[in-house]
Amino acid sequence: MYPHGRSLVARMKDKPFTILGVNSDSAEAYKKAIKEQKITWPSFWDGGTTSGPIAREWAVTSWPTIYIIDAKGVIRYKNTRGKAMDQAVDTLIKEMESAPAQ
Amino acid sequence: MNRHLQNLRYFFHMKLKIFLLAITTASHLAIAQTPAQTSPETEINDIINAHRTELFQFMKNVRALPEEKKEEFRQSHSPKADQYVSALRKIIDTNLKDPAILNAYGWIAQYTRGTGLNASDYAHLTEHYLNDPKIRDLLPPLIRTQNKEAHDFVQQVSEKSSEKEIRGHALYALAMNLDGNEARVDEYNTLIEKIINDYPDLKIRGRHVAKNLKTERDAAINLAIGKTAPEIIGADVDGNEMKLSDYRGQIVVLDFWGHW
Repeated sequence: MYPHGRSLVARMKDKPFTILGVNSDSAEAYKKAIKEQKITWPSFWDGGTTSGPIAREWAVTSWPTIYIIDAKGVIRYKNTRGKAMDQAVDTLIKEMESAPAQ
Repeated sequence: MNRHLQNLRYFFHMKLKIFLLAITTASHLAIAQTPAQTSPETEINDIINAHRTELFQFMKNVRALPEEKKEEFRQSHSPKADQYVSALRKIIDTNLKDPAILNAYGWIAQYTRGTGLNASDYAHLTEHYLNDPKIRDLLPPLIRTQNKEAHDFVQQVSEKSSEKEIRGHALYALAMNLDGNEARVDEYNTLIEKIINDYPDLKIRGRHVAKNLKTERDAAINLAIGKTAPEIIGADVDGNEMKLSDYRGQIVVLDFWGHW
């Protein structure tokens, strides 16, 4: 996810787009990962455990788990990765750009 | 006097020796003469372990062979369950009232894919063990057989056991069998709803299975594609508060991650 995430964020830098993490590491491991993997996007920290409150509410039992949410806050894709993730994000961007401005 | 004492000592010493010899001889004889006392439970475990040993040896032999010979060896040397089934069958038939036989039933079901159990076995189980907590362990092997009679029996346990906890175990076994089966998804959902509603505290081997099913079910409903994402209110690792809804108006890739 990290190199792919970095390139996706770079490609979308002028678009209304973000990666938002929910991290289940210990605080130390999380800080280390951010530094070493050059992670620039924000993350919720889920208390240092895989059974943290956010993972529990979202019934996450395997990692990584990915949801793609559109600008209106609607879940549009689940566990879409790699190229398919890029295509999904492109589709949603196009959808936004072609929708009449409100 | 001294001499007399010595004689006395000698006398008692000899007597003690003979006495001890008599005891040890008697106890040895006792062991040799009466057959070792074994319970049906031990006998059943011995048979199951003997099969396991044979299976391990077989697998060891397979591993030692070159790749191209493995399949042929598997075909011709795979351990047969038959002799173990008939040994277990004998113990069952002579110990019908001993709950240890449930373990033997489970083994037979597993290694014959259910064909080793017949109508009178199920009748016997229904008559004597429907309400015995030990039957809980028999349910998963019966379900795994994918055999109709075995499944019918589990169904019957789920309906007729007087013990709520046993009925819950049976329902859970039936549900797990349908998990992921697209063609029977309605049946699966009905079972899940029943477990969540009627057996909310069901625990199996220490796991809160009903609560877990409820979490999964709720997630499947609330986190389906097309639903509004539930709000997340939390903080980053430095304690700065964040909300998912802060990103409304943007496309969000929500990534549950860990760097382990």
